Amino acid sequence: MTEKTGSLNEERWFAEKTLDYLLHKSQVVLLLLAPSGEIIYANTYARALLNRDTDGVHISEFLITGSWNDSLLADWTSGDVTPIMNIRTHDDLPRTLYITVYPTDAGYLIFGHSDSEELHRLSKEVLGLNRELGILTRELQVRNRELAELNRMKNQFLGMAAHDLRSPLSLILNYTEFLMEDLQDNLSDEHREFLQTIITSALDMKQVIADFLDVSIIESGHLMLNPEPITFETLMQELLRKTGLSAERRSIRITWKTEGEMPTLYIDAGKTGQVLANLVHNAIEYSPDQGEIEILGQRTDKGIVFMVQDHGSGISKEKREKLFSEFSGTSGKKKNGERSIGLGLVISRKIVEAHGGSMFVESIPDVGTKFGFILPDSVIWSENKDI
Amino acid sequence: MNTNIPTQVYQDYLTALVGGDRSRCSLIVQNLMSSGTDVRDIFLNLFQRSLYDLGELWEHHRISVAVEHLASAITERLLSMVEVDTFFTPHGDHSVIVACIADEFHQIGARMVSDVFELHGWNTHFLGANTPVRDLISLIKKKSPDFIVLSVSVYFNIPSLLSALTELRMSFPSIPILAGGQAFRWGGVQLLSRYENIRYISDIDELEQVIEAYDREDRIA
Repeated sequence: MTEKTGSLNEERWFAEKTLDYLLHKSQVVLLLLAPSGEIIYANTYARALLNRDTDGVHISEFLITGSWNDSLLADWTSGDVTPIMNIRTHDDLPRTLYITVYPTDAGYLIFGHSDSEELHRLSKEVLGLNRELGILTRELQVRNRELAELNRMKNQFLGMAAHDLRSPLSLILNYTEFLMEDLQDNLSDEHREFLQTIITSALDMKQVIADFLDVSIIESGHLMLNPEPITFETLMQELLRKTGLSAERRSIRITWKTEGEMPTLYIDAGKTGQVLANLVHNAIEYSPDQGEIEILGQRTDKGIVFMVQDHGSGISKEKREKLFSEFSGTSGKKKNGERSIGLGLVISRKIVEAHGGSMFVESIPDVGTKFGFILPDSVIWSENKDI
Repeated sequence: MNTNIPTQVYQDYLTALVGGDRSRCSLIVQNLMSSGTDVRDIFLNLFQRSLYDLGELWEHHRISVAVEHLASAITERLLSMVEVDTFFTPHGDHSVIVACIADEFHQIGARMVSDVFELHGWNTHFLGANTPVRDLISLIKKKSPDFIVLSVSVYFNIPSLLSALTELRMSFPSIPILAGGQAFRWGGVQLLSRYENIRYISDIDELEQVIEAYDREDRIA
């Protein structure tokens, strides 16, 4: 065999073909460097890999940033370490070449190649990871389906429970009111207070149940809008009627204004009023006594803006991010000490979204909070409106 | 199955897949989905067909291993995209475990089979490539599925399938097993007759018939 190879080496055609393959066709990098490191020659593959004129350019220009040092060429030829050259290629990605360096009179002759076994291992690992990712994605989708089903069941339960609680609660309220009226002359102040506490608590519970029902209806996708033409002024009058009493009790002043001309809107007035009342009630709850609440209506290039501003204690950033999530418990303790389950804003968000709008909140601790929503121009009323 | 995927769209997809152009493939699939193309049509006449075509190119030394692997990876990614629609059909109580046997690394076919079960409202447990028999047995004990499905793509893995079947039959003599996959193109179907209650499934149409018959019988019972 050695004899045969030896004889081949003497064949001119063998040397020519081998050299031609190495210089022009192979995926072997061949570089000839001057003793100072400038490239004297680069074969076709090296030029393609580096994708720029290499003649006379110092080898450090092609190495990964910061990897050049004056002893590198000597290190490569020392035999102490496996010589590796990490280069930046034409696609700006680093690539490792395993190199063999021959010191010559002209400088350094360098042959370099990628380790195909290493690439094969890498490719196998990546493919394996991709397969695992596929399985995990699939499992995630199965879990999503299960969660969606559980959520549906939760809403169904919520709706049923809320519905079934309404009747006994109405009985409690009615009979307590009867007792208050019928026994008013025979009640001590203390007993009257007991009955008043029952009524107040039952009313709070009634609101909670109403919220539960709203959420279950909205979540089950059965929220129906009944749009009608309405002016901003009419909305405000109705809003003040609903919220005036709560504000008066705490001597809070509510004012409203518009900026620019507000068009007549084609919206579900009842539900939009519910959103506004929720925002104003929140503002009242978190305002100091004798505080002020301002309501603003404005047509902007983003749509129709409704904004309620209070001068309360404000909301921290982390709480703001959770405000519109169900049962986030972020609403915390209100001014009057009662706990809120925090569904009002969730319901408001769903109603606003059903109109094609979105809600926003801006708050500065100890300065106040601006809550509001923007409805799209499509809610502007016109005679031939058809939603 | 008749297809609503135009020939030109398929050709574009195949070209993109061979070229490793993930974005182009993804766009084609998205367009098909938004135009209402049935998921099964996409599975069979885009994913399966293109992978078969690629397999043929590979067998004739027209494409490299790298191209074939990248095409599989792209298809796997696109499956995740299409699958979203398959998981929201109403689900019943039937369940199935789908796995590729040990040393079998081609899982796309098995994954599509799982998805077809999902489309029929079955609860699926997909174990994927290279599943050791002991893992399979342990999951079967836990889930008591209505069916076990085993997929083999490489002919030389059929002996592994047979040894897995022997073990499964010892532990679970009565759970029906379905077996299929590209490996059987080269033979081996008759070897399955050694085992009780095992059926070879040649394609997705046949699989759907089996699922529908099982659902029907269950309703009557």
